[in-house]
Amino acid sequence: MALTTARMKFYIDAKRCIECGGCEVACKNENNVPQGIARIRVVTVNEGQPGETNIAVPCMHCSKAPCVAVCPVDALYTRPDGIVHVNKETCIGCGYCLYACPFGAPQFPKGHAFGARGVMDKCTYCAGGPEEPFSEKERKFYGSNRIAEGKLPMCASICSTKALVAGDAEEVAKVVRARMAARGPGGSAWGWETAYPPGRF
Amino acid sequence: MPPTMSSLQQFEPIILATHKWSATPHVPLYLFFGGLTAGLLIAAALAEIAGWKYPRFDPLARVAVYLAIPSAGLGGFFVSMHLGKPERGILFPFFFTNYSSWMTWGGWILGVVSLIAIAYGALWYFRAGKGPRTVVAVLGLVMAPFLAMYTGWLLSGFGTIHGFTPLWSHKYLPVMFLNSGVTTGIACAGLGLLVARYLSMRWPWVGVSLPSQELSNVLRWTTVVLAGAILLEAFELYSFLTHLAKGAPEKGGPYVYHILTKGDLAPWFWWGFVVPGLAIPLILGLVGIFAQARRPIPALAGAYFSLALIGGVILRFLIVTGGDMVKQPLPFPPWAAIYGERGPGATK
Repeated sequence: MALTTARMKFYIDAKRCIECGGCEVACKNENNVPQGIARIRVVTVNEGQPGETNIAVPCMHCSKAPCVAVCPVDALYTRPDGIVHVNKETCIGCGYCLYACPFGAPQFPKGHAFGARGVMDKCTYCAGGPEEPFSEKERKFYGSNRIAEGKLPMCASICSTKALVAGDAEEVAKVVRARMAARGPGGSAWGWETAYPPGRF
Repeated sequence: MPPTMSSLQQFEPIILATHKWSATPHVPLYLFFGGLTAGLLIAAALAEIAGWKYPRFDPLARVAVYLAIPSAGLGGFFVSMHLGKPERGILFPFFFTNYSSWMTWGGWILGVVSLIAIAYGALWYFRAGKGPRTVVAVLGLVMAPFLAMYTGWLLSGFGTIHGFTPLWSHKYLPVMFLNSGVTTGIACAGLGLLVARYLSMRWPWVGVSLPSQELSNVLRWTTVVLAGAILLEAFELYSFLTHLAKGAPEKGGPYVYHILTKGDLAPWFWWGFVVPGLAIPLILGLVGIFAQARRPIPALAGAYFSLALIGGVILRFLIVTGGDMVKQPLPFPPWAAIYGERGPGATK
């Protein structure tokens, strides 16, 4: 049987998220996220009204990432395991990926004397960056590399209600199918049609 | 039940305020100077061609290309300074490797058009013959529209992704930017001609010493073309707004239409762009075409040329800011809040 590379995905279950913010805190703590940046954030829709919904929004590491398509300098790339990374030493900070991303994942800290903004920062799926795994440079620029340790992203690991599920696409899909079967129609996974169009898993 | 304004708040983008393109004036000013450069080159080329039969248009061509060069430089300055790493943007031939990105194409288009403008300006400065000048001018006439239109393709992500926001339409924005570029280019060329002629009276070396009757004729024809460009721009604006207003609510078009015409951006839209940038220059221009039949009226011409330029600047700010305010939402859950769990069109 041929070995296949895992395709790492996120599943955000909008019906389970309770807006505890634990994912945000865990991510910032684990990855030394720059000030003002939130690699994952919880968005509340219809706050205080019937139908209030909370969604945790990280980078979805899309199957055909629009950010990769629009980056003029090829700073963004998709790894064989499906994780989308940015090379901060190549990034020019143009902001085009911010507009390409339907989820608003790319973020830009404030710039400096020359240049209106810094280089892009986003969720790394706790997979570090293009630097040597576990190196000081990787830690400084990209945060922790839990994937190389065989662990899942910190946000999904600590989610108390398992609203945020991460892992191999096949395993995540099993979770999605089970929950949809239990809920009936209308329980679709948030953002999946955009991030992982059918046939592009 | 049509969506209410409170439910339409879903369309406010779920993006943190992390230095979007509207946070600083760099991107709108780059869009303006890019379009202005294209318009100036188009105006210069048309004047150069007209100059074969009517030499009185030659000074207009010279002034237009002399203005196009610093305009291109300013465009390059603003687009570079908005980057996180401006030095990598300036050295784009080495760093821009992804040709599926409009930003890569834009770097090359701006670079090529800038070189054409410099070459054409040099031919004028070193008093080259009209033949070589016309060849380069026609080359500029062919390339300049790409400079104006590519910014619309870039904002809309045309051909690459589905589009970022309802206001950055791949169908309407490129043509609007081209037309606005032509409008501002003609206005800037006309204004430059007036200023250069005024300066020539004091400093003859400026070299624009058109007799009064010839200046009147050039201004009238320039104003005719300007009026036509403004009318076309007004028609495109109307078409675009109609498209937004009648669009599917879940795609955010009606919401951004509301923001532009009645909401937060309405004062700038009506009193910054439509009235002073389109209506007043058009009216004054029509008056000027008839009033300047025998003698030029520099104050009148200068007024409507200046207003058309200001309108072009404000249009770019409106487009970038409006685009940042309304992003096309993901289909779930925002539409679920408006149409229910089963989505639009469900009967229950």
